[in-house]
Amino acid sequence: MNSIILLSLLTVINLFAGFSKNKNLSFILSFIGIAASAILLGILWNGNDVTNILAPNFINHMLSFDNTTIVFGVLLCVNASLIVLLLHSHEEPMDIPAAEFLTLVLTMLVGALCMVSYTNLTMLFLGLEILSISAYILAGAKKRDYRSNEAALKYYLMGAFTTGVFLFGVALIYGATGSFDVTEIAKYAALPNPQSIYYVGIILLMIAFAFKIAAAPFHFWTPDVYTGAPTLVTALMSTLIKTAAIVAFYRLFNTCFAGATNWSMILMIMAAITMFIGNVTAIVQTNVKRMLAYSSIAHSGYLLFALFALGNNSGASLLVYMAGYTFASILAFAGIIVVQHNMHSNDLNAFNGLGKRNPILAVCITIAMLSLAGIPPLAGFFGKFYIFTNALKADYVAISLWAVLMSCVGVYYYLRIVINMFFKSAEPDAKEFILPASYQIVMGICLCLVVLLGVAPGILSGLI
Amino acid sequence: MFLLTLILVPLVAGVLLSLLGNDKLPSQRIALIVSIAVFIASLGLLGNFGLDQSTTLNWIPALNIHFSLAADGLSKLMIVLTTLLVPFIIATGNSQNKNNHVLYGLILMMQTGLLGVFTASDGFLFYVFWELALIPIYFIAAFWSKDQNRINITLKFFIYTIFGSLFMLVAIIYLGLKGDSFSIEAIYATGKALPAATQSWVFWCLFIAFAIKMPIFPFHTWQPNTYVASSTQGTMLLSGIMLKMGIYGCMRWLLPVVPLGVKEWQTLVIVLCVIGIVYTSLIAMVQTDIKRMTAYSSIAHVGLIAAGIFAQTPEGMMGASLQMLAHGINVVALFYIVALIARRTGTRTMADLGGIAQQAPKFATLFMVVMLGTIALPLTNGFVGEFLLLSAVFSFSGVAMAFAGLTIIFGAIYMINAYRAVMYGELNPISSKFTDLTTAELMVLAPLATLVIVLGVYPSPVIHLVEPALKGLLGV
Repeated sequence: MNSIILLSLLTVINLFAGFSKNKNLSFILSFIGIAASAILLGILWNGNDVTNILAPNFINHMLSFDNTTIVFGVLLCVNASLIVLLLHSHEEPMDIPAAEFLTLVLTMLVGALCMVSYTNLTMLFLGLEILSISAYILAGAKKRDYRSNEAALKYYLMGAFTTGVFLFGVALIYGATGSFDVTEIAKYAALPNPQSIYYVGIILLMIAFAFKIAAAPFHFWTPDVYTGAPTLVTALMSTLIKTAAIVAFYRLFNTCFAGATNWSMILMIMAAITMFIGNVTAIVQTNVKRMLAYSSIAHSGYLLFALFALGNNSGASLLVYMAGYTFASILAFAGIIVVQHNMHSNDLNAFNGLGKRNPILAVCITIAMLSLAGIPPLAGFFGKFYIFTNALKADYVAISLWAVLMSCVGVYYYLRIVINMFFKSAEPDAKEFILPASYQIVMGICLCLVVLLGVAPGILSGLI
Repeated sequence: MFLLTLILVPLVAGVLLSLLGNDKLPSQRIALIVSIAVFIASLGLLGNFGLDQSTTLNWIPALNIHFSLAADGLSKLMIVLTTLLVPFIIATGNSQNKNNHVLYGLILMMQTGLLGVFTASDGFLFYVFWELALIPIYFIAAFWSKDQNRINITLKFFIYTIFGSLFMLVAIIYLGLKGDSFSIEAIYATGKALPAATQSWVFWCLFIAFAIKMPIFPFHTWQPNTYVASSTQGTMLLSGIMLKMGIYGCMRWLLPVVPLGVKEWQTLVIVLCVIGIVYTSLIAMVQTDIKRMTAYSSIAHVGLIAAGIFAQTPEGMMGASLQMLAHGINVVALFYIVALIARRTGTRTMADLGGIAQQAPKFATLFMVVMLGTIALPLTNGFVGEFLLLSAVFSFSGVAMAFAGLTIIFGAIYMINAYRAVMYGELNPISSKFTDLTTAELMVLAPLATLVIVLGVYPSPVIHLVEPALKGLLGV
């Protein structure tokens, strides 16, 4: 709770810090604030005492900070701080000042923390809205850019519509159960014959979440928004928002609806379609940002595995997957920003000959791509491994084989970037790319984490 | 820890070489020294020096995954084959290439992957090493090749292999979960206890990975193009060592794991192997490019090895082990010969060549020895293995053996034909560019040719080495 309060205060202070002559002030404030909130989360570790309502982890039937929440909360903080670092030496022109950008990132983090810790659907709704509204604004951060405007408007319209669907679902569930509290809803779900509006409510919630994590058939906004938004915001959307949404989704189904299993079939079909559409459409993309948008859709499909094959280890597998995905994605997007800055293009051909111009950058992007493709021994592989392990434990053989087939398709398009970097030659006047200091730091951290989590995934999966 | 050190030394050396090296460094020489040291150390496994034969470390306790390595007779044979061939493969390269430090670094890294595959005694670890070997070879084959279509060809190879191995991953996870442990003993026990229907699909998930790697007809379509398009060293690694991963995988991770599944599909697999043998031998006969011919002949040889394994007799397993060693040595020597011809004359088309024997007597002699080994003449290393393999196939079915035996006849036809076309006849202007072997080249080819004869005359040390291990695998 303290971390949420701290971050909320910081958003206001940060706006005033924007008036200061010292450009670095708001960066330093944000960075320290995020680090402090991660520490505040960390000290709650193992302090979960559900029986004692006055315990610091359990706030007014609204939020609860159990170990799963804390781990994901810290992951979100690390995620946000990496983005803040990237923004520090960001060269892509943005039409909003850094302080405002940072404030919005902090607001998103507040929303995300609410979403991973809620025990009441109203809190979930608040978190979702705090997160989304900041994201709508950030998507339009380049306000003189046509594409960025398009992205913001599309995202906003579709998002607002989904919010309606979500609220409708919550209302129906309230109608059936008489409560917003997840434990009360869980009690109702365990009863023999629930009312039909309860099921409709679940389906509407599922649709809303499918929209947020960009799962098919509610993914149509993703490619345009991801491509149009500034690349740094795209990185934020495909990591932070996705983590928050999938964890909220998982909490909802793990606590409220764990008893009812009839929704697992729907989720399974959704996962199958999502993996297919994401992977197959990504093949034909020539814009790297757009390709990663489809890849992000495909990853949502794998994430859904944790939901329909719910088990004791679903949380752990989600954590390993999301950590691997987050760090590899940030690594990839950081690389894309550098290439975009130097080549003024996101086209696949802009990566030609990168292996000669800046071998280090090319190796970083290669590692990111191989991790996203799930090649061992990198973090992305272990994410997939845990996900498949859980599915096979619950005897979901057919969908696992389908997922395997789809990740094979994935290898193709991830490798295309690698091929362009190493096997195609650049234009003759190519100059060397220069990596700003903060990019070097972020990429170094991500690279180490991707390799480390690949070699020793036990350090994460053992936590929860 | 000896085994662990042996496996990790090439990786560490490879990573350091590729990250810290530059074009001024004598990378080839460094890699050669490292690989020779590893070879000498690996010989220590053969004798009884009190070196440990297995290592087990905790890796992911939650899933009962261990970093465990073990070397029985079969593994030792494969280790020595790998450590023996890698120095030769390194020595065949050009010492002046650009980015040489990366190339030789990658070769060393790949060696770790290969050694790991041959020693892993944990299903999960086996998979990780299996893929670890793939990444370096992809770059070796693609980056240092001069072929125009290299990008598409190597991409096809990469996707094809990943496709197979992902299915293997599903099977390994399934087996590991059922038995609550990924150790090889647990996987054997779990696999055997599965009902026949389950064993059947587990069989296919595992088999498809191995069949693509070897490759067995009809999963072979990536192979000829990849072998031809790759750099010489890439081709040698692929054909000399990497395809043995598939054969070894069948022997250790398929036959003992799902016996009922193997029994159910045995006939189909042997029929596929035999079709592959005849089909690829016929294709090899009409090739004009000597490298492509060698690539097809490799599929035929591997088909026979696979057929012998799936006959599930002690002779078959023994023949396969001997033939893996023989094929590794022969095919590396053959591809080196092809590379020498191409380097000196600028062509690989047999019709353009002729009369080289007059120009280069040393080369002609050594080529002759290697060629005889390839067509399995008695007293060469190819003979014992092929003989045992054929007798194994015979014990399964006489008809299958009759067709599989064609590989020897066809092999003799196309190999002798190729030898005649290249080495004898009129000396034409292209061939007259051919000069005899330099000392460095002789240092590579002569030991390989010697091995062809030594192992043909005296194969019994190899037989003694692998016999107990094979008995264990067959459950005799």
